[in-house]
Amino acid sequence: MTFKLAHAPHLRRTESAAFMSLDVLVALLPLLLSSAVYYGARPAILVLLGMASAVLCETICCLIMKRAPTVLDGTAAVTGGIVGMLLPPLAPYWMPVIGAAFAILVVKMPMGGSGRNLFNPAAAGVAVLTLCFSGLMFRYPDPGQNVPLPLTGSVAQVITESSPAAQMMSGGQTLYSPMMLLLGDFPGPIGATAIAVIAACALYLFSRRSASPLITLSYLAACAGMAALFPRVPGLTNSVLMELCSGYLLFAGVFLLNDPVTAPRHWLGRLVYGALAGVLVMLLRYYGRFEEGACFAVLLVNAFAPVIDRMCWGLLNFYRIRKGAHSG
Amino acid sequence: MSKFTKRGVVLPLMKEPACSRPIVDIPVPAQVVVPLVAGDGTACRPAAGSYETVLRGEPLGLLEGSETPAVYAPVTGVLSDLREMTHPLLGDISCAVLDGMAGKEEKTEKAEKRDLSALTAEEILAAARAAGIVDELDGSLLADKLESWLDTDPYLLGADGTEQEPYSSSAWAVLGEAADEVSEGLGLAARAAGAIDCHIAIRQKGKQRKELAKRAPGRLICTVHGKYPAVPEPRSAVLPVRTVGVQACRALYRACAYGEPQCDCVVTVAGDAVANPQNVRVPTGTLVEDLLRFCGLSSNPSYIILGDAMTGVAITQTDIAIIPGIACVLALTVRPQPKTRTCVGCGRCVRACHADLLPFEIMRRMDNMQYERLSSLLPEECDGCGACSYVCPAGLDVTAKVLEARDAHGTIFLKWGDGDDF
Repeated sequence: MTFKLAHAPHLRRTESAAFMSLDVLVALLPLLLSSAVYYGARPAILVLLGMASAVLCETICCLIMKRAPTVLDGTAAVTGGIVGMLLPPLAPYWMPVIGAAFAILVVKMPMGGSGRNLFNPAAAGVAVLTLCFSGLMFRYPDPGQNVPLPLTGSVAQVITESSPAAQMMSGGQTLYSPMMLLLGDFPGPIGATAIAVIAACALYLFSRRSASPLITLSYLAACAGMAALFPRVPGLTNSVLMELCSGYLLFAGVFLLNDPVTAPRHWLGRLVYGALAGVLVMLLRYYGRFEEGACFAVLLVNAFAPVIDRMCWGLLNFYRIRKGAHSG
Repeated sequence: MSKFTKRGVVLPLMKEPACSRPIVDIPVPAQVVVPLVAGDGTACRPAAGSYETVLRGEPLGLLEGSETPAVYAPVTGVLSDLREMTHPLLGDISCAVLDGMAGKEEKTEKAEKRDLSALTAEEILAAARAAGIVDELDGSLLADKLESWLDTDPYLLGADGTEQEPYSSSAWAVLGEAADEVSEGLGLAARAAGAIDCHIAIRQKGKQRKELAKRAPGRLICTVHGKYPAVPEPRSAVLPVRTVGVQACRALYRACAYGEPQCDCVVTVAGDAVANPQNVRVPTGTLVEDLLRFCGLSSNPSYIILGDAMTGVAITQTDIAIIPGIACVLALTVRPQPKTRTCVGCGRCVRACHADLLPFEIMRRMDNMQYERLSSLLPEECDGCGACSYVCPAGLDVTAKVLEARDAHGTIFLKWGDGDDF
């Protein structure tokens, strides 16, 4: 009889790595449904186009790199889906295709594919679209007025309105009640307006441990702190509420920052990472060129994530490391 | 730190039905292969000539250059051969092959029980050394272990009967059989090692705990909760806790009271391929194949594991001798493992690590061959509990990589293929 060799432990939790991307895809679904209420089928087509583009690009890359296709782990679909979610409902159909293709072809696969990318591919895709097509990126239709949006043909006659983020940037008053904000009844990206739904998705991801509450909560706390200290609209609670609910600040905190590959793993590292991202988002809002710069903030903190992780762990274990250095 | 953060993993317990069955004695095997190695790893020379009969408990191996016996015959039998072999836990060793003589068990007259209260620490250590007692927790010599703890900072001594790993239940079985002897042995060990206080740590509570307390009077029995690997300590403990094995405590008692050497050990045989999972008392040097034959196999196993599921070593041959460091033997047909892929970065290994390390980072530096940057990550503090691999959803052998880093002691080393590449 022959027996096989294997490393200990000989018992594993039977949990596959695809579970995390599957959870995120499940969490994106209610957001898509809530946007269908305001805009019809057009957002769903945009998101699906983003996903298809990402999956296709990843398959082609795997073929070129002579690797087994990795699309089944779901990370490509998540990337494409998030790119689609952050577009305005009026975006032309080629926009998610380009954004997702950039995310996969430039940011993810050249670094070595899933698990090795330094930067969040979805954030990079959105950042490129923001930089190249800022006119189209921030052209939001008024949610109640045109149900459903035209699927084909010109969208020129659709009534557009400046989003709360843009209104705050231009220094004007915003006219949205907390209830409207919670239900997403204000101009904004496809998946990022329904605040109540995003919060529910976040709770789902936290309970499945596919996202870390440490990152999201410290991020939101930092954003709220900045909004309270340097308000752009009168009233403390109004300022905090408006800043947190406008743009895709909350969406970025739940879906972009929690990408496990690019986030720190240590609990203190996660806290610092989230807080740093929050401060950067608010600084980009105050001094940036665009009404929403969360994708740039995410990319910036991604670059520091490994360093933050090691430094926070090293700080907590300073005496242990010193002792180890002396005895060894 | 781990005490406060409650790190670790929750393991499924698969101890039934072995843990509820009494300990069974294996019939004297036709052949036992006794490693001629003292507990601290030094080689011994045989004490008897070829084809001489050796009685159970008589010296079988003497320390090189002296007449001090270090290995004792576990069964009565004829010394038929000396064999060189590779043992997965001991390395390359020479072994004495004893052809067991069933039924010719020497009726040793019951030795007079010595007065244990009068023994000094030196006498207890000497008795432990003479009996060659090996602690089953880490496979080290009990006397060396206790001696090294003398004159250190105050600490508590615990007999670890928690059996936190999924299959093993040998410590429970020994406690169920002879809790009084374990308790006395623990007291002796605490006296020899200068511990402030001692306790028996178990996982059971309620009725079983009360029963145990009745049979080990005057001894603190504490129930250990928490995730694997939990420190076997009382809840109110403020001092650090050091642990010895339950079987070693019992052997120490018997060595001090009756002068008996450690000749056998209790091993849990379990796994989905085993027909009769149970705790078996085997003479040292019994071969794994004899043990598996005794318990019976219900199907063809793919993996034979020495030790429990979290820390055990997989072996390819079954002619391996059982030694006191082994408390469990598993025969498994399937071994669950998620599909291997690159690290997802979920951070589950960091949360699982009770030593508060960064397992993923150590693995990354090993993979990237950044060996010179390993030492600041303290891989030497890993005890190989296996929790990081257990939780890894990417199916990576994290524990194996961290242990590799630990065993390299932070020195730069390079591997170039399999050696045939040049």
